[in-house]
Amino acid sequence: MNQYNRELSRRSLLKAVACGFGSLALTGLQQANALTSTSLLAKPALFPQKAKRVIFIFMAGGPSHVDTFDYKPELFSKDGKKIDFVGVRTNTFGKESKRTLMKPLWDFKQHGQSGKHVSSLFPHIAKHVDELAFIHSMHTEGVAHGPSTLFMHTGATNLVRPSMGSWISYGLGTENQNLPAFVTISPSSSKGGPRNYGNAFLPSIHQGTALGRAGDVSDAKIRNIENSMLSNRERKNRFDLLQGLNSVQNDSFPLNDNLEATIENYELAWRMQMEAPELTDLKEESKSTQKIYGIDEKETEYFGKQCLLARRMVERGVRFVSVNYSDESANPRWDQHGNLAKHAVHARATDKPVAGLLQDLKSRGLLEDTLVWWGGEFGRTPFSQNNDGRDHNPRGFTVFLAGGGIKPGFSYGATDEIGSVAVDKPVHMHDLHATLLHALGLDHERLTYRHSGRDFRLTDVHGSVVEGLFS
Amino acid sequence: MIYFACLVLNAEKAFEGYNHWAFRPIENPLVPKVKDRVWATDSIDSFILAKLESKKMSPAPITDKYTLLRRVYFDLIGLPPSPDQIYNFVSDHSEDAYPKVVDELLGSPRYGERWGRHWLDVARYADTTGGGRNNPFPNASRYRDYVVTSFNEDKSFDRFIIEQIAGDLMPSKSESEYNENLTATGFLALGPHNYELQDKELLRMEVVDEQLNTVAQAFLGVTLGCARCHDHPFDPIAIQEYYSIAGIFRSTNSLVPGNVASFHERELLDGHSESRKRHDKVLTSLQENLKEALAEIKATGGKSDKKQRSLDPLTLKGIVIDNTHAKLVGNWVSSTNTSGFVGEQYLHDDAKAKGSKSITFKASIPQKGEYEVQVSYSHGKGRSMKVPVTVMHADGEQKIFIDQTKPPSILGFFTSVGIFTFDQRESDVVQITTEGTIRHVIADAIRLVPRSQQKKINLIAQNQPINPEKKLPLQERLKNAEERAQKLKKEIEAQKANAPIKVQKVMSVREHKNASNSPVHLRGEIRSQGSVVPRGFLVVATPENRATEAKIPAGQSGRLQLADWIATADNPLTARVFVNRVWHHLFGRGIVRSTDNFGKMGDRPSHPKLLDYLSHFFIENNWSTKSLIRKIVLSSTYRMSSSHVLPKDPGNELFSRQNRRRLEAEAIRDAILLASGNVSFQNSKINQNRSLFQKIDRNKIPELFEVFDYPNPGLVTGSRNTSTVPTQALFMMNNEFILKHAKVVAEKINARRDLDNGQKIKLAFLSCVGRNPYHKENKLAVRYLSQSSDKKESSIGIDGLVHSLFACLDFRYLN
Repeated sequence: MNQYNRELSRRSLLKAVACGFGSLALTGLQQANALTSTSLLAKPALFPQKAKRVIFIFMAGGPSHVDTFDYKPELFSKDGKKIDFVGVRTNTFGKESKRTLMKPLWDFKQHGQSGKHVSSLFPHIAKHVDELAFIHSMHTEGVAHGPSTLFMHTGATNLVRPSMGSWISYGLGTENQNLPAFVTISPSSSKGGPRNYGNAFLPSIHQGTALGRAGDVSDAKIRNIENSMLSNRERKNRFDLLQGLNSVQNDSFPLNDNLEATIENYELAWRMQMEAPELTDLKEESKSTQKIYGIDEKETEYFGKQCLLARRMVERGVRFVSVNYSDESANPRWDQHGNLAKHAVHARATDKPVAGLLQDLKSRGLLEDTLVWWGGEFGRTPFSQNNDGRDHNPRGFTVFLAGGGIKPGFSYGATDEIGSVAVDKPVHMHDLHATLLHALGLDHERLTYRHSGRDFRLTDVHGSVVEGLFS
Repeated sequence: MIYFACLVLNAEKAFEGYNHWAFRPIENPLVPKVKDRVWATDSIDSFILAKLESKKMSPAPITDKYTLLRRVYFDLIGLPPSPDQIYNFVSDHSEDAYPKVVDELLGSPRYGERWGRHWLDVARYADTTGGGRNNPFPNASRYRDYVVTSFNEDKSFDRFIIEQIAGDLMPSKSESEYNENLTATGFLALGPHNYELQDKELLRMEVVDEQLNTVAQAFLGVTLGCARCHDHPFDPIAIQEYYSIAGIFRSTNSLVPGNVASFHERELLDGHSESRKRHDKVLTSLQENLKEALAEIKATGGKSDKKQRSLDPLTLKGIVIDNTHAKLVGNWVSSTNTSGFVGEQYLHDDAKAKGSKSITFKASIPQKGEYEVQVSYSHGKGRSMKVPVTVMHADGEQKIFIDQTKPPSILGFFTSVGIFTFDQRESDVVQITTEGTIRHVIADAIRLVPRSQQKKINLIAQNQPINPEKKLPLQERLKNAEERAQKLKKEIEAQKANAPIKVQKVMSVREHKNASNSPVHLRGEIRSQGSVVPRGFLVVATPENRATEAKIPAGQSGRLQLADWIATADNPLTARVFVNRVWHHLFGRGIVRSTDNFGKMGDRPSHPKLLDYLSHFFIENNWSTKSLIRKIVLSSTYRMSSSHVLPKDPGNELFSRQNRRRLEAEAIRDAILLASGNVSFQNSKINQNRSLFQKIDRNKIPELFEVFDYPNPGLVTGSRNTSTVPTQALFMMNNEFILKHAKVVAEKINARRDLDNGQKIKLAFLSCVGRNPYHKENKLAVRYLSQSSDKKESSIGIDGLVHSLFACLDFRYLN
């Protein structure tokens, strides 16, 4: 950020305290808790914690854990063996059937002080293993992409529930009132689509703001921030006329907060028009910064840009940023039911950008209080499918966390000897949600919202904080 | 906020709940005596005034005519009055000027479009499932239209309830009555389900849970969800009662099985089923003959006309879906450059934005079975060699790669990607993407050939028709065949033009063939079952002299009995809940604020006697919504000013004034369309532009709707949020829709050459905010317009004024 922008941000921040996004965003007549729940003003956490914000790097389709970070020597030695597995899909539900084990397609090597095994798919991320905490004992709900992706984002496979980013926005507000609290970069419109970043019954200010479309960051802009039909001078003319009319009309309604809010929102929108376009303009970043994200290479250009955008967001105080490696197809990117070798393409596209993000966050001192989560909606089976692919595996898989007070350079929990099922210290997706909230200083049992007579929470009636992940 | 959701109160405490106000019988209270008998023109006013007078307060004065007219127009038909209608009303000094307007609006077809929409919020209406696959509901709109018609016809609300819960089980005297009843049950089928959920037993229970929660919240204002796992923590509802109602919905068949399951669609009666069969038979035989004739032409050395460039989908067997009927993502370019395509054109991806484009073909499968899936493309050198084609079939999905540099083998147009099983339904079947490709990807058409017909079709493709004219000279055979083909084509066209109307289907449910009582699911887990409970109703909402157990004839679900139990005068909740919904829409808040929750955790009524009085009135008047609305809007209470704020009642708890209310997204959009002439008061086709008729994709809500708090269409919503956020300001200042329509309105105003600038300003105000400009506003407008002459700014003009008026407070708020 250059000096001018830094100053602008600081000023907007100060202004925000006086009359920002949050204090204005009052909702209507019916919400009993309107004043507390519809504000985006930064709120203190329940207890002090290191993590102030989250970057969630979503690997859509389910990357194979046994080919990436969950090293299983026995899977190499048992290659081709037939073993009984309990089915999880409709036609095989609960039934055992013989499946053929398939060894990982990539070699593993140890890295860093921690000696963590990482496959040759991720040479760049491998350099950062001493900052990462791997959870190898993840398990989740749903077997198809839609339900599992929704479960990961909202804690529910079928019912309409708020996204975790919305919950966090509701719990903590945001530090920059000129920007949304929850942003999702290049989300897919399938596999749950907007429900993955939807506010459900939470007030609408907590809804995720989508920038760009799946596989395309070129139009990653806040909607309606620009106006191609009017000159800047005419925009100002109309704005002055509008605010003049508003002030006359407001005079006849002395006590109405909503009217004041509407008028001040126009002021704020006017300021956003000045600041926000700059936010998504990557040209401001130096060549060397762009290079560490791989923006100068064809394979990594797109995801590199997404990751760099994410850093610009958190730097400006956005509370929760999702970075989506996804597309619009029926088989999301990492979904290799056949031709597992294609994992190499996806690793190539994401490895350097993710490593670049970690490096950049660290060098700017942001990693300390930014929690990074990398992972898919589930993992993949150790047995083969269509000869050279792997099926979905919600019963055991790996994610990694970094920064934000998480213990660095270690692995937590384990799957069985072939990577099929989480057996040692299993971590359910509900537990990960609880842990995420805990890292931010929120109690997942107390972060609730009353809707149609019931208090709802991200973790429903489940979940426990994985204490062992904190240093 | 402390979390209590799982706290189970002991039985004794729960018992206290029976005395909760909402579960007591509806009474017909005495109308209280008041001092100001001039103000209190209706009994409603007496209830409101009595409370105010008891606190030594007086109500707000009646509002001015401009404000009242705009208010009642939006409230009854969702549109503002036109400048002419405003003029007529303010210059009509007769005593019944206002009641006349009210009756006119209640009689307008626009009324059903307004009040039907309120009900669609409650019915969580949408045109797709949303969520994972976001399957479309192609026939959901018939339910929507049914709702609109029901309100326009002022169908008695008790009947409206029964139709939606059990219309398929009601007796009917005519085809149209049968159709109407069946269409109503779409209500049960519209839930936001993830039909691909793999645990089908869980999916079944999720659907049941969603249905019974929707029914309970929509009609009874109680939340049952908690009781799925344990006794309701706040309301006197035991887990057994949940499963006594769940038994009714588990005995209802709502799912069509499959790897990706689906909802039921049932056929409407139209008296055409016989003629439809005859027509199809004739058409099939004509097409058969044409194919033979074309083969003969080829066999005798002729050119089978369009062969070189394109195939006419009319002449093809099987289910053919051309690209013109497919769903496109990303920018596809249409072309006819290279021959060998189906229909008018083929599409290509221009070899750009690889990985971000897709085309999805949807097919309506007439019956479950095996089909060969064929994909057509015009081949060529510059094509991709590994185009991913995903087939979405009954047992899952499979990705196949096709090489578009090679000529396709079937008829020179199609290549087969394999044989798959499909279920009988309409769904996405084939998707072509550009992921991993480098050169051009072609997307043209697909064809599904039933396995049973496959041989026959391939025979024809191999040009071996049985030919009775073999012995004639080639020349003559060719000529005959060409004439025959020509004639057949005409006949096919004629036959198609004369087709009887397509059979219409509606979303619905069926009775389950194993209708039976349900066991309790311990802790809500489907596989841990407790004792079986008889199907029945909520004890707390059943009058003492009635049975809580349903008397269900063998083999039936019990939905009809449930519907009857809800739609009765002595159910303490039903009438109260609906009357309160109506009040909410006319005042911006209900007598009970929590419109969808009358339980213990909901709000208590601010005027309990008024609520009972109106509920009683509603029932006595044959559950007529129009009579209820008419009574309310004619009251002084409704007509009060909203700007008169009493210090003793700042939050308007006592209804000492009207509430100033933000317009809903639809009303904002429709008001703009009305001003620009794209919606009208009259019955006309352009009214299909009204927001009500926009398709609602649960995964892609139209932007204006999203910005202005359109409700989540997956949830029952009796009262919408009204947020005030900067995205609304950005939308109003910069969105193209607003700017474009402001221009159109300005053009209309400028076309009035008879008006001077001052009159044009006035007309702009009347068109947008329903009143003349205040003095100060007029000055601002004059000053803005005057800038156009001194600065060379061509866009300054009436459209800038209209734009600012669309964005201003008085446009967005109902005073």
